[in-house]
Amino acid sequence: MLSHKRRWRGQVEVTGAIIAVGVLLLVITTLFYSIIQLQQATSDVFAKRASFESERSLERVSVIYDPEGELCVVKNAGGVDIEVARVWVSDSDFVEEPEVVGLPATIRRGESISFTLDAAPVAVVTRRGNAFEVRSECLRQAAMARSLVEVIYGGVGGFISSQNIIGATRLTSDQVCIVYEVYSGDSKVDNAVLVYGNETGWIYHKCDPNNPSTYGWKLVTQYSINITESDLDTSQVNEAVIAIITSNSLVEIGDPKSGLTPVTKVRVNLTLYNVTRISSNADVITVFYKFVIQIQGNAPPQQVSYNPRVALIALSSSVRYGAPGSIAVSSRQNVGVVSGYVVLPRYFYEFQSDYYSVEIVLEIDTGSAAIKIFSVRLEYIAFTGAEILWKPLP
Amino acid sequence: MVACGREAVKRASLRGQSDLIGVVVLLGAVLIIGVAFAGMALTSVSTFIGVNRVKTALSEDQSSVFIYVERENATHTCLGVLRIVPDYRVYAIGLFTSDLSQDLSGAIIPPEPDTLVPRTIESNRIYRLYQGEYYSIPVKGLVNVYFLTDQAIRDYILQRKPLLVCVDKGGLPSDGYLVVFSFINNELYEVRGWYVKS
Repeated sequence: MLSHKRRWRGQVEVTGAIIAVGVLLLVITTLFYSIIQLQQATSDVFAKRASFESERSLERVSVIYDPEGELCVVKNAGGVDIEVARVWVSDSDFVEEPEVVGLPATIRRGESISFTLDAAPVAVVTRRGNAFEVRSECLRQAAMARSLVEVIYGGVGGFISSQNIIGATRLTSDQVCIVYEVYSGDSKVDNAVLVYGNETGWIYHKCDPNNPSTYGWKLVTQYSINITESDLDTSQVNEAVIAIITSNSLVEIGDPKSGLTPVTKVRVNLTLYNVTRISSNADVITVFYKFVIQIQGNAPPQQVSYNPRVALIALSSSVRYGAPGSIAVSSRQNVGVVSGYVVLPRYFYEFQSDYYSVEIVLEIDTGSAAIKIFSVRLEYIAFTGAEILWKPLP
Repeated sequence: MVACGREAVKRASLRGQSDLIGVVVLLGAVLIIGVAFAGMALTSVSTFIGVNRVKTALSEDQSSVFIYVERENATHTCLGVLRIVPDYRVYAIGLFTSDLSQDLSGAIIPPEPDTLVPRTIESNRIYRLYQGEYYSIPVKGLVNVYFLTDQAIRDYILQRKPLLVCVDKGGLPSDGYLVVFSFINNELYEVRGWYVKS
């Protein structure tokens, strides 16, 4: 009887144990599955985030200002294609469709899009959450480029580039207006003219600043030329020659046909009209010059007295800022090369930002009737600290 | 002899009934205890799973939601809010003082129409995230937040496109803290925040 009861109890305990174990297994399995699911979901999202951050850091947009075309170039310089989410067209307005402002929805790797400065978007926002400034960067580069142009071509930085030398093609350009006066002794020479020999022949210049049609150079047609050398010092750069008009020919100032002999004292005033603009960036303006002189007589050219002066003349006020120049003379077979410079510090002279004419005066005095001046020529004038406005011939 | 036999049969029958009743009682007790245990266990598991699901969702949101400064000037700061994994989730945006003691949502400007809709919600249903744990925010009473509209969720969250939210700096008495909340079980949980200088 007792064993019968025990058998029943044993069966019940086994049944209970099975149920309990089943429930425990269910709970453990569910918990395990839940934890695994959480871990998987978390690691999955973290992997996606890591991938996103990696792609985001690969997005690069380079903004380049093209000074020649005055264009703003936006280039995808990164390692991934860029999907444009939004384009800011001003500081307060944006468009959601990039095509409206001429941008594709996807900028492929290496692809470039050009805008004019006015049409350049303010900023481009990508779908990966990068915002690239475009217009401000272009304007900054444009300002830098202009300033660089000023520094290099205008010589603001204190060095001369080929762009701020008036000689050869820039000296003979269509925009040139040089007003000149020539004195032999104390007498003004009325029939003086500036001539230049180039590959087309001899050209002359005589201009009235108030009459732009007289600017530039014209071919000499009605006179024969009695000037043998267009490059007296054989420097491979021709010079503008002070010539005298005789009845039917053009001769050099010391030529007996000029009627001025003996020429022992000459003063040449050259006023280069509206030749330069001095910007607010300029600090020291330096004017360089080179004249070529031919002397006849026993004295070498360096024994002759040279006295150069330079003045800046403001166009708006006609105020003059003048200074004497330094010289260096070298000579070869009666040919003297007079080169030098004049320094005009801005804060000494207190000249204003303006358009200026430049006057260069060269006085030559041999001091003896036995030593005569035969030829006076200008090879170049160069500026630093100021921009030259005359454009060269193409 | 016959009477003795009947007596024996009757006694045996009584014993059988007694055994049966014992077995039924034991089985019933086992079942009750088993079911109760199973019920408790399953309830605990269900709660655990529910909490885990919320944690999973919040963990996903914390990893997926990304805020960056898109434009900033003297008067406005515009932030981009981006979910890097497209998934249908409901988000709300609030603006508070940096210690979350004051509601500054009046300074929020939804720059795009039909993207944000204002709504008030009890502060005891809003949780801030601090060092990985969620705490109630110090603001009491009703709090103004902006919920993303269905259209915003469709056009931005599901398109993986950044949503623009601007803050009027003039409306900030001090530095502000813009919070992106995830709306889960009728409660708002902070998933990402950004300090905005006044």
